[in-house]
Formats: sequence, C-alpha cells, structure tokens
Amino acid sequence: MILTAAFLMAYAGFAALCLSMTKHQVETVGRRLVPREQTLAKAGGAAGLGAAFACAVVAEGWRFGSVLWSGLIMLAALALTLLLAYRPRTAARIAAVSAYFAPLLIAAWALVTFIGA
Amino acid sequence: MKGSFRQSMAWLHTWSGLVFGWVLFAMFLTGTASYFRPEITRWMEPETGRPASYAQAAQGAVAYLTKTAPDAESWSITLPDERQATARLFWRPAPTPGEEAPRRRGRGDNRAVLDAATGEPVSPRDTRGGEFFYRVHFQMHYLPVLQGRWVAGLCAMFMLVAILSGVVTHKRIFKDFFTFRPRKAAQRSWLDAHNLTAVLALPFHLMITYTGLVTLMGLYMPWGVTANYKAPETYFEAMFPRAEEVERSGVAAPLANLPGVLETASEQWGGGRPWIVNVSNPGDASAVIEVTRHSGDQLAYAGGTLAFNGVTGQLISATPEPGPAVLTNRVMYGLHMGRFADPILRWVYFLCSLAGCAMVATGLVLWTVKRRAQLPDPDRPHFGFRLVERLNIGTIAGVPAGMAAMLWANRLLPVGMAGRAEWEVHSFFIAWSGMIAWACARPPRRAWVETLSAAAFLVAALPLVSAATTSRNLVSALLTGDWAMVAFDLTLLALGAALAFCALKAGAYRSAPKPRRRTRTEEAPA
Repeated sequence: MILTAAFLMAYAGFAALCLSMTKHQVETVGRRLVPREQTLAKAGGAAGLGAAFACAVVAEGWRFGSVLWSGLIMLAALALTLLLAYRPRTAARIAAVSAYFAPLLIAAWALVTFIGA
Repeated sequence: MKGSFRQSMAWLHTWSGLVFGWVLFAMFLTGTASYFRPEITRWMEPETGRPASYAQAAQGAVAYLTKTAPDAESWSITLPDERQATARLFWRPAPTPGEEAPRRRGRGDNRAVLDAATGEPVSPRDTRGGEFFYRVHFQMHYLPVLQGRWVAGLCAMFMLVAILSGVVTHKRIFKDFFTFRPRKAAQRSWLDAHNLTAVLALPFHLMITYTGLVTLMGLYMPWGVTANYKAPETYFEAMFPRAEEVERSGVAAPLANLPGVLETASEQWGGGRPWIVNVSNPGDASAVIEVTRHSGDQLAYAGGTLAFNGVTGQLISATPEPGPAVLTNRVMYGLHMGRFADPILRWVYFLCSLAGCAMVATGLVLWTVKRRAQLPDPDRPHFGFRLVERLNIGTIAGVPAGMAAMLWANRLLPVGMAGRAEWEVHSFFIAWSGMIAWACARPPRRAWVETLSAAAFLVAALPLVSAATTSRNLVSALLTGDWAMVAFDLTLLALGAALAFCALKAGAYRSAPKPRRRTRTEEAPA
C-alpha cells in the first residue's frame, strides 16, 4: 500500500516538474503557466519526490528504501515520458489522480499500522 | 576526432558503443534474466517441487546424509530459500588410508539434490538452469573462464566509457528530460528513445556498470593484493576465514539438532536466513557445524559464518565484522546482484535492466539510422554499413531468440540424452547465429520483421511447449497457487508480445519512407 503511494507520489512529482517546463505546458494542460504557477509546480514536484522517498524508507528502511526509491523514480519517469508522448492529457490527469490518492493511501496505511495493530 | 571536447566525446561514444554494443546487448539481456535465476532454474527443472522452509529442508538433508554418508569427513548443505525448491548436498568421504589429501571436489556420486519439502532425493533433468545466463553474462562461453571474464571486463569498461561520454555528448539532458517524439523523423525519434532509456535510468546504468567491474576487480587489478600479501592464499584466508580443521576423535556422538542450531543462528543475525551449512566430522564428538548467512539478507553481499559445537549445538565462534573497505566492496557487489531485493524491488531491477537493454539496442540502431541519411546511394550502402545493420538485426532479435531456444531445448531434448546440458547451451548460440545468418540472407527491412517475429514466437510459445511436454503449465500453476511459475509464464507472454510489437513497428516503418525524406531536408540546415 505504502509502496504504491511511493510510486504515485514519484509519478505526480515528475509530472509537476514536467509541468514547470514551458515546452510541456500546452500539451498537458492546454495553456502556459504564469511564473508563480511554475514555481509552485517545481516545489510540488520536489515535494512529491521527497514524499516518495519518505514512503520508501518507511516501508523498507534506510538501506533498502533508498535503493527502492531510486528504482521507483526511474520507472515513474519512464512511465510518464512514454505516456506523455502518446496521451499527454491522460498523463496529466493520471498525475492529478495520483496526487489525490497517494496521501489517502498513506493515511490508510498509517491507520492500519498504528491504530489497527 | 578533431574538434571540441564535446565532439571528441561524441566520437568516443559512437565508436565505443558500436564496437562493444553487440556483446553488451547480450550481457545486458542475460544479466537481466539473471535477476530471476532461481525461478529460471525451477522452470528448467520441472521434476522438482515447491519451495519450503529451510528448517524443513535441513531436517530432510540431515536424515538423508546420516543414512547415506554417516562417516563422511564433512557434509555441505545448500539450503533453499523461499525461491528455491531443492536443497543441494555434497559430502566429502573419509579419506581412505594411504590416500593423501582428498580431492577438493567430489565426483557426481558425492552429490544429491533433495526436495525442499519432503527431503526425498529428486533427479532433475541435466540442465544448467538459470546458472547459464548468470555465467555467460560475465564470463562468456566457449572461452576459458578467465579469458571470458577479461572480455566481459573490457566490454563493461567501454560501457562505462560510453555512458560517461554519452552524458557529455547529450547537450540537453534536463531540457529533454521528458521528451519522446515517436512521430517525428526516424533519426529524431530513435535519438529520443536512446536518450530516454539512457537518461531516465542513468543511475541504474552507472551503478550496474561500475559495480559490475567492481565484482571482478580482483582479476582486473590484482596489484593491491600482490603488494600487500606475499602469497595469494594468505589474502584469501584473510578475506574468507575458515574454521580450523579438527581431527576426528573416534568417539561417536549424535549430531546436535540442526533446525535448532539454525534457529540460534537466525537469532544471532536478528532474523537472518541461514544458507550454507557445513558439518565437519558428523557423528563424532569433535563435530563442528558452520552456518553461513544468506547473501541476500543485507545490502552487503556476504553474510558471515557462525561455528557451532556439533554435539551440544553451542555457538563457538563467529567471523569478525568486515572492515570498511571490505564492506564497501560487498555493498557494491550486493547492489549489482540485487539478491537482497524483495519481489517488488526485484521487478524494479528487472525493468531498469530491460531499459538498459533498450538503451544499447536503440544506440545500435541509431548508428545505422544516422548514417543511412548520409549514404551517397541509400540503396547500395557500403560494406561496413551492411555489416553493422545485419549484426544489429541478428543480435537484437537473436539474443532473445537464443535464450528462448535454450528453454525450448530444455523441454524438447530427450531427458536421458548424453551431454544434454551442453546441448541446451549450444542451442542458445545456434539460434543466435541462425538469426545473424537469416539477417544476412534477407533484405534488411524484411529481416527486421521476420527475425523479430520469429523471436516473438519462440518466446511466447514457451508456456505451450512446457504444457505439452511436462506437467508444468499455467493452469496447474494457477490452481496450486505456484505464483512464481504463474508469473514466469505470464512474463514470457508479455515479452513475446513486446517483441511482436517491435516486429509490427518494423513492418509499419517500411511503408512510410516519404515523411522521413521530407524531414531530412527540414533538418539539414540545423
């Protein structure tokens, strides 16, 4: 559960970073972002990757978690780029859905781990 | 090679990538498969059963050895982990009087393979299993082992050169980070695909190439050892300390309860798994049980060994913790092997590694795509171009076809055939060279479609071949919940589908030469 959240976070994070780049804005959201939005997207992207790292470390510990995080973000970036090439709108929508569900998954995981046990 | 730094790096990248590319592709693909070495072995030994706990396997092994070789000088038991279905036993018989120092390796009659669950001996068909892909990945075949490792090291070194020079050559790593334009001109989209698979998985490629070289650094750079140790043996003793050999006392005493000893060992390791058990002087009062930890328990690829009194089961000694240099080396080794990986991480490794194969393959194709545009007469390319093109086709389709052919041979060769395991291996190389021959015999565009289709068929038909020739099939694996074998068959189908997709794309590419020409003139001024 928490690893799924890690992957979704990584995907959403990369999508936000991608959105902060001028060349990908029109194809994904249909318009140019204003500078303030670009800064926000960049910060959001970094936060997404950071959250993915936190999830991986929580799930697997520092050693295995950091290896797993490196792998997961590589695959997330590959998935995003491939999707972007063929279905840019869908890629953006999936990112929004991921950014929405990942915190829910983390919350559910926390509930099960700390209260359920 | 004249010109700016970036230009000379581009030159280096192009040629180091091309010259070593074919071998590197084979090394990458067989290495990728090696992440599933135990599963491949299980698939290739359909006579074996299901994984079971190591404690269960240990019990069976002791029972078997007590019956078969009660007065052996030593027993060695390789316990199964949750991915393996057999325990592998080996024993060294007591030296007969008059025979000096017994041979280090016993003959076939001193070995046994036991079912992990029942402890009954099984005789799987003669095969090298997943071990072949693992071995060929770093020591080639048909070559003496050390020479093969030198070839692999040379290729890996140039892989590292190609990666680093590629990073310098690629002008827009961050600008083009998410860029893939499959509908653009051939050269553009191949370059995008090459950049994509290289840049996005760059941490993996760098790690795997560098740590790959580190795994064999003792061979490539022995001077550290020769400068510090008078004899190589003293170095190995320092690196891999072994317990003192103990003389047989002649007083009979029953062996301590092995599963209990293993449990103590596991507690000592904070829940780690035992892997190799060595019992010297079994059945004697001087018996010693050495338990080596599973190499996939930690990031570092080495577990350490605990020695127990073989009668009382008390812990006698433990190998000291490794120093920082040794630990660094073992962590690199561990990162390369990925044995510590749980199933999710193992799939991540596998997919990143497939991206590496794609990187090498797209790089090889790019060489021809780029040069085709510059040929004086595209219909009659010169010899070098034709050679590269044919080797590309024969290798990119041929290596997966060869790997599949080996699995076909595993199912189709008669079980009792002499030299069976070797012929399985030969079939890998026969199929690969067959694909190269096919690529040479046909016009290139047709050859791409045909060889890729053949490879797709060879891979995707394997679940059917297995179902027709053995009791292993997708349905029974599903019904019995043998998920590793279910995943194996599904992965074969998926890989076959991916190859078929490549064949379709190669077929479609032929019918649209027009836009390619138009964009070439567009791009010319750039």
